[in-house]
Order: sequence, then structure tokens, then C-alpha cells
Amino acid sequence: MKKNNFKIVYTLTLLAGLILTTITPEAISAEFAVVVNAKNGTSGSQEEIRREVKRTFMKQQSSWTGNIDAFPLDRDPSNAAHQAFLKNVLQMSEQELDAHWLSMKQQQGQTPPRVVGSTRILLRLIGKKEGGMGVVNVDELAGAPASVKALLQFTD
Amino acid sequence: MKIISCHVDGRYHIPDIIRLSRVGVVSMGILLGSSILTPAIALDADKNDRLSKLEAQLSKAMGLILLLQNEISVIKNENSTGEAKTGNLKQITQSVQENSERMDDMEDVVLDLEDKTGSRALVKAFDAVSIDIGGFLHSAYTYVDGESGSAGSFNRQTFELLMKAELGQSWSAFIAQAFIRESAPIFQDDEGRKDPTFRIPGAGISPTVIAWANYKASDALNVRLGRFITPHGIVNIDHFPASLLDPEQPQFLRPFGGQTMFANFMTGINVHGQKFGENGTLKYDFYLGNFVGNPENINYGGRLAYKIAGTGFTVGANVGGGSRTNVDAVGGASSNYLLYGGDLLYDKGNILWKSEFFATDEDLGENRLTFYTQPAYRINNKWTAFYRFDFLDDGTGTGDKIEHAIGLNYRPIQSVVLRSILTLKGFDAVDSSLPNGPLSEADVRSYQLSATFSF
Repeated sequence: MKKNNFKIVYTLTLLAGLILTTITPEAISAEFAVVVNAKNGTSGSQEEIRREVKRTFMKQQSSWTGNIDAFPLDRDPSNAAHQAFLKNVLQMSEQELDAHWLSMKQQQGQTPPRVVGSTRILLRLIGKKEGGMGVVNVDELAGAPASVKALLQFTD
Repeated sequence: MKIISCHVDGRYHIPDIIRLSRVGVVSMGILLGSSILTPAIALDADKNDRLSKLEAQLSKAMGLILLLQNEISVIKNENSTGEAKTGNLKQITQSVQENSERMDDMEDVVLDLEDKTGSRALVKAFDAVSIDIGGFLHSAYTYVDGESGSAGSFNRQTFELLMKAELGQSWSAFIAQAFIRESAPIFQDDEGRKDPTFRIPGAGISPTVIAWANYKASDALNVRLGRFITPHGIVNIDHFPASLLDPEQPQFLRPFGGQTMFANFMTGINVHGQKFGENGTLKYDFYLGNFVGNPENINYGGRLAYKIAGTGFTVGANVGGGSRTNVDAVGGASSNYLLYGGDLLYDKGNILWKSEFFATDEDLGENRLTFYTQPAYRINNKWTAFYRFDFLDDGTGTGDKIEHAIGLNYRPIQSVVLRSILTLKGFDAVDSSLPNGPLSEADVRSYQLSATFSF
């Protein structure tokens, strides 16, 4: 009897562990979105859009499709959206990004995108600038102005 | 007997009021009934009098009923208005909360601005849409240990100011103004390879390193006019000490602003652009201009580079030509040359590997050849180690020069880089049968500590 109880507890513990390890990363993952002006006509596969977003953010590409001057905006380095963007879209470390900007500043005078702290102000700026782009948590898109749209969604 | 009850808050609520009104109506009915029955059994003489009294009472009762009905309506209305008010209050609270959040955002922005500007006067550009200013300081101590002597000096102090102005849509300008106090290590012995010292060029120089205006038609087509870095290879384009593992650069780019293989800087016109594709980015540069040391002759050239997406590889092909003045080789006469070369960059993860080669075909003097390869390993976010093998045959007939450089870069923060570099340089012997011979073989060790501070 004791042996059976032990087996049941052991099996249940294993199952619980398995379920936790399978579910937890999904459960705690957050969704983010690269937001652009509603007039932005960029299209393509997810990977094509990711590459274009990366080039635009890093100011290697200065215009969106349709020759609209790009106006990328950044978040504070401690912001979860910035960190997720760095990891999943730029696929770089903070140091690699810093090195990129150091060389861009000294070779061409290109400065990093302006940092905007408030999501509300970020969305309004993107709505005002045709080439605007920024990254937000998907939850923050509720109540966003109609002048912006999500171009790319990604999970951290 | 208690007819009505009152709630603890002292108010009558709708069910109580309805109950109250029902009781009132029933009471009135009983009262009326009794009043009506009474006159039927009374004497005729009193009939008229009683009828009048009854009518008066009835009228009073009716008035009372109406009064009660009115009061009930008023109380009902009051309750429904209260419910509406509660709904409005919720909306108002939400709105106030939202406005408070907006106000907080605005205050954060204002505080940030206040922190940056305070009561200071703001700099305004005359006409530019925007101006960005930065720069760097670079200092170095170098100790050179030769076969017949040694010398050490804080030999480099550079302050460079960088400015970028947006003149309007599609138009921009970039300027790098340097203020340099430095002396280059040279050899004062007859053979120029054994007894090191430092050449002091005077009070210092302040060259305008870069000054160009750029018109952007699109990412694929830009036109740049002015003084620019000659777009060949990798290190010459990287150029600035803050971006370099070894600020002394490979041998073919020395001296600063010289034309050992090609002119490091060019004054003229540069057409450049890039095209983005699914598999990578194609970048091109074409230029036409003058080297400051040989202003009467036009130089031309270009570079085509392809960055292969996702691999870390960039491969470049270079072609150039023109005319140069080389006092050592051709006695001051101009030599026409044709330049060709290639470069390969691998930059991914912990590895940063740069390699370049260039060769020239000279119509006067010897042809030139140079190549280097510089693998580097990013130990972590702060430390990078590198090695460089560097070969140069500069066409002067003084033998090949080979350098082995090994160094360590440390970045305590991204805008500060501290370096320690050891360089072993070997001069090949030159046979007595050659025009500049005989020259003996010589080895030199050089140690350099340097720091670059960007802002």
C-alpha cells in the first residue's frame, strides 16, 4: 500500500514538473509590437519585415518602402520592450548596439534614435510622423490612436 | 400597531413608500365608505348640509391622495437621478485618472528637459534643421626599443570635434575638425631603422579631416561633395581611433593623411549608395578628386562591397588610380598608378576578423604591395584581444617591412577605450646591388599605451 502511494506521488510530481517546465515559459512570455504610422506601406514576410525594421532602427536604411523618411524611436534601456526588441528583432547585445552607434556617430554623424519614456507620447509621435516607428508592449496598444498600427509582433 | 418602518438611514425607500400609499388609499376608502353610508340613514333635513360636508371631505381626501402621489413621484425621480449620477461619477473618475497619468508623463518630459537645459541658453543653428555635436580625445604613450637606442614619449594628443547638420530633407553636412599635437616615431640613424626618436613637427596641426555635404536621392543614390575618407578597404573607412583596436592602423595607412598606397583622404565628389536584398546588402562607392599632396592631378576609384545576411561576412573589391608624387621613389616626379585590392570582414559573435590587400602598378618606381590580417576575439563585453600580421612593400626600394602587433583593448564604458599594444617590426635587408642598398636587417620593439575618450 505504501509502495503504491509512493508511486502515485512520484508520478504526480513528475507530471507536475513536466507541465510546469512546458507551460511556464509560455505563461510568463510577454508580447511586443513594432508600431508604425498607419500610412506605412511596408509589407512582406515576418523575416523581411524584421530585417527592414532592424536596418531602419540602426539607421543603415534611411527610408521606408515608398521613400518615406524613417523616424525610428527607442525606449529607455531598462524598458522591457527595448530589451525584447534588442534580443528578438535586432538580435544584438547592448554592447554591440553601443559599438554600432559609436561607429555611426564618428563616421557619419548619425545619432541613435531618440528615447521616449511614455508610451502615450511615443504612440502620438508615431501617429504624427509618417516614417515613425517604435516598440511597445501589446497591452499598451489598447486605446492607441487610429493613426498608428502594429507592423510586427514578437514574443520575448 | 406599526404601519410603516423606517430604515436605519432614516429614509423611506420605494417599497416602503408604495406600502405607505396603499395603506393611505385603503384608509381613505374606509373613511369615504363610512362617510357615504352615514348620510343614507340620516334625516332629510340634514341631507343637504351633510352632502356638502361629505363633498368637502371627499375633496380633501382627493387632495391628500394627489399630494401623496406627487411625493412618491418626486422620491422616485430622486432615486433615478442618483443612479445616473453614480454612472457619471465613474466616468469622471476614470477621466481624471487618465489625465493624471498624462500629466505625470508630461511632467517626466519637462523634468527631463529641465535637467538637460535648466536656465542655460539654448544653442540655435543659423539655418540647419538640427545639429549634432560630438568628438573624442586620444592620447598615447609610445616606447620604441631599437637596435641602436631607444626612446619614449607621450607622443599623441588629438582632440577632434565632429559635427553633423541636417540642412533640410535630403541634405546634410558632416565635419571633423582635428587639433593634433603629436610626434611620430622615426629612426635617426643613416639607414633609418635602428636608432628611434620622435619627430616634433612644431606647435601642432589642426587639419580639417572631413568636411562634406551630402545629397540623398534615396538609400541607393547619394552624392557627397567635399573632403571625405577615401572609400577603400575596412580600416581606412573605420578610421576613427574610438572604433579601432589599434589606432596606429596598418602600415599602408601611415603616415596620417599620406598616400602610401592610396590617399587616405580625398577632396572631390563621392557617389555612394546601398541596395538591400533578401540575401544581403550591396554597397558601392565611386569617387573622383584630388589628394592634398598632389593637387594638380585627379585620382579616381571605388569600392563594391557585399554584406552576406546573417553570416557576419562582408567582402569588398577595390579599384583606383591616378597620379601621385613620391619624392623618395621618383625624385619628385608624378607617377601614374593603378590600384586594385580586396577586403574581407568577419564580424559575428566573439570574432572580429579584418583582412585587406592592395597592390599597385606604378609607371615610375617600383610596384607596391601590402596586406594584413587581424583576427580579434571579444573576451567579454569589456575586453578584446587582437593580433595583426602586416606586410608592406612601399615601393621605395628600402626592403619589405613586416609587423606583428598583439594587443588588448579594455572598455570600462562604451565611450572609453584603454589599450596596451606590443608591436614587433622587422626591416628586411637590402642588397648592395640595389639602388638604395646596402641596408642591414633590423628589428624594433614598440610598446604603446593609449586611451580614447568619445563624447
